[in-house]
Amino acid sequence: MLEVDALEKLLRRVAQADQEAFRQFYDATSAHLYPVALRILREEGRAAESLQDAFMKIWLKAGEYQSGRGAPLAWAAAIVRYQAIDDLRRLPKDQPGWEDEDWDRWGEPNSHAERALESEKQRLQDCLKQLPSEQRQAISQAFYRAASYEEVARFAGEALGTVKSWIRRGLLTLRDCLHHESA
Amino acid sequence: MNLHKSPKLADMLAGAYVLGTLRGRARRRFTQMLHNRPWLAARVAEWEDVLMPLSLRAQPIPPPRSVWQGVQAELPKKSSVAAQGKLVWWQKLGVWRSLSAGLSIALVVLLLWPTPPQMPYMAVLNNRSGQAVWMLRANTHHMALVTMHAMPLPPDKSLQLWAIVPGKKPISMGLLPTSPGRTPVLSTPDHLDMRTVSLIAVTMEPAGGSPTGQPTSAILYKASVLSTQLSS
Repeated sequence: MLEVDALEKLLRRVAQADQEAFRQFYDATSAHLYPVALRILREEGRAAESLQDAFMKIWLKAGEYQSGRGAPLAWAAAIVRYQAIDDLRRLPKDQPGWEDEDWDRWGEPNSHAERALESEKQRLQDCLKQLPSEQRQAISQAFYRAASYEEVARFAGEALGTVKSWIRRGLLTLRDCLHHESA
Repeated sequence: MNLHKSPKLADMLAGAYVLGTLRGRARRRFTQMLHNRPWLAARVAEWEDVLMPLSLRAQPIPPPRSVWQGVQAELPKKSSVAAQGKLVWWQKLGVWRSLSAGLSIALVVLLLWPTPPQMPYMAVLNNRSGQAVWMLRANTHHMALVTMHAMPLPPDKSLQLWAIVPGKKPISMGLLPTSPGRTPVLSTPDHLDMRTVSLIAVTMEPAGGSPTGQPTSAILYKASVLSTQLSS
């Protein structure tokens, strides 16, 4: 269902305002994208609203997707994620319910995802494993929860500056590792 | 700041942008920069391609049906140009569609604002367990409603919203949507001045709304209408 080629083809049609193609793209991807918003906004009503806005952006921006980039789902997930981050910022500040589950599960195989995503994921996981645990956890908190530096710092019980530098150094190492891996 | 000269910084910012740790003004500025710097957008795209697969969880969860309905209502209509204006309107109403046309309690939509107007009044209706279900925002003569949770109802019932103005009979504000979503900005019924409304209340009525134009059952939920404006 989530064939990269098929999704790219649909996006090309969406870019030409083909509503039927858009419907098909929605049907193929929405169940994968909804959890992205849900994860960040942590509440179904908000996540649903945010997803709706994100799909409107997907409709409008389909022409910006570069065919052959090979990751239509990742492209759409990014739009959903940015929308959710924007929506999160509009909410009154509440204490996020931190959970440890996520980074423990990063290594688990994922039977549903596309194979292409799978290899990317594997590559990233291999690189993440090379990070010191505090950097890895800070990055995964920031990533999964769309947590701010302040929230990650509060959770970790560390100074803001420390957490910022963990994340910066972590990203740099990640970057180098990913470049190295792909080279 | 010339990011071109410091590729490492550019890369870090792109990473932080995708990660979400780039916030506030810095994020807005970076977003602006992306529009006219394709090379920077390409960096962001790279980060997206490596990081995004992680956020696509193993277990897909289908979103509520209201999402596609909402999306569809916003898409350009394929109908004839002459009918377009009206169609878009009622389509946009989506969840309010259950109102039958002849009902006197129906909310008459008079105006859609091109940009959201200031909405200094608000009220939040909680369910019995204290969970916020509807949020009403209003200014003097306009209102918009956000439904945050689904509220399952028997098919022969509707939830009706009432404005309570001290010393007056309840004024119907229409039927409440029962699935998550947002209404567009609607005119208040009968040119009701929201500044005079002290409370809003919800009753359960026969499907389509109270046949008498007044509540026929006890109040289920109510909320004070608060002004977010500082009084001068």
